Amino acid sequence: MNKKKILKKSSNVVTREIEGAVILLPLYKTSKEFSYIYTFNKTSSVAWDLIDGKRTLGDVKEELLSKFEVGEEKLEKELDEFIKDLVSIKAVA
Amino acid sequence: MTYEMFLNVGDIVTKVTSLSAPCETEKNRFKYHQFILKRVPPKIDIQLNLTVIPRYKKFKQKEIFAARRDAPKKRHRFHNRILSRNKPPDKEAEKYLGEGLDWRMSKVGKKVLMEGGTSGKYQLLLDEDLKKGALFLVNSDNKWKTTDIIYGFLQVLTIFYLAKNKLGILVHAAGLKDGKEGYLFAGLSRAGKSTTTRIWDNQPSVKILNDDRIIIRKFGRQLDMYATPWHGDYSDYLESSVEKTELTKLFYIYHKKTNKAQEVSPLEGFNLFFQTLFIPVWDKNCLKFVSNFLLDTFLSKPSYKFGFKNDKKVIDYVRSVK
Repeated sequence: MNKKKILKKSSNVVTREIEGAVILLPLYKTSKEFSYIYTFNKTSSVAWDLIDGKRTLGDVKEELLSKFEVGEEKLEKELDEFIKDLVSIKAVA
Repeated sequence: MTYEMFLNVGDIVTKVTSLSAPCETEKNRFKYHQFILKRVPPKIDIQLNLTVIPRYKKFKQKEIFAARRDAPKKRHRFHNRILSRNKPPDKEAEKYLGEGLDWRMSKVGKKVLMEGGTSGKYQLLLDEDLKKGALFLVNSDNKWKTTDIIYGFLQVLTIFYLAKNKLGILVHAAGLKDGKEGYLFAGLSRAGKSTTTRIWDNQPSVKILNDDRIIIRKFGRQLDMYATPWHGDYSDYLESSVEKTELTKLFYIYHKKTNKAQEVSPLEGFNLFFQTLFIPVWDKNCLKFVSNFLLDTFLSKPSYKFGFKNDKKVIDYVRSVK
């Protein structure tokens, strides 16, 4: 994970919070791209909120560590996978 | 001399003006009679000037959405049956639209262009608000049928118009009126919508709206569900179907060995019912409206996931669900 990287949310997604979980709905340009709707768990919902085009990924990780009782190594691995997913569906860049 | 036709689906009235009357069978005319108004209605929502042309017109367009036949078939996905069909378009349509394409949506300046080639070849050039436009039906015979409109593009236009004007949603669902109650049975393909309709059809006090597509609109605190002309595997009810009724309970259905309904939380309900909605996924405001309507309006009614057994006992079970 590049801790200095700053990610910005795409304008081509719609999000909605339900019962503390964020649901992400991407816009599509072809039916070939049709895919899943994404329901984030509590941790990833907080991580999503922290991605604001200002904080670095290192900042996001530190804030998550302060909010959740989790080991740094485990959190970094999960955050890394979450970011890869978001990049792959073009929800962040 | 011009010919005028008024189609009413979900209380959205589309006026079609043409130089010629449609050429169609009595059977079709009768099948869709409840959606074709006999008199000039007091309000018209969409006005289309129809011309039959021998070949597609060329426009300087910027594509914003393309419906392909090779769309992925994933379970938990945006529902896209409306957006892609099994039948391939004819060669002329495929050549014009591009290989593997069923229909597409484009921008032509500030106008919206819808073009299709599978269920009738058409080009529909609409004002930005979708309320007025030129309809070109591509046919070398210089003839047209009402089904060119109903099955050509009206379904996509309806979902777009409903969402863009914040009026309602189209759901992949069967709907029926049972006395003062209105039940919606939403589900994916083969979940049991037509089966459910067969079970309930011809029961005393029961009227069917549709076995596959239902429009939901909100009026004050009331949610109404509307019949549509787009039926599924079962269509015996069409000639006697009721136009609309108030929605009182909604079910996300699937086949099971015994009947069991469980009330769902808003999050679970969103995830289940979202799959059954038809959504203009190319338009951010529409996507926002549909997701808000689903959560804040639709799911405000008692909502259940419902595994059901295919026999008449399910009728008493549904009536008893509290």
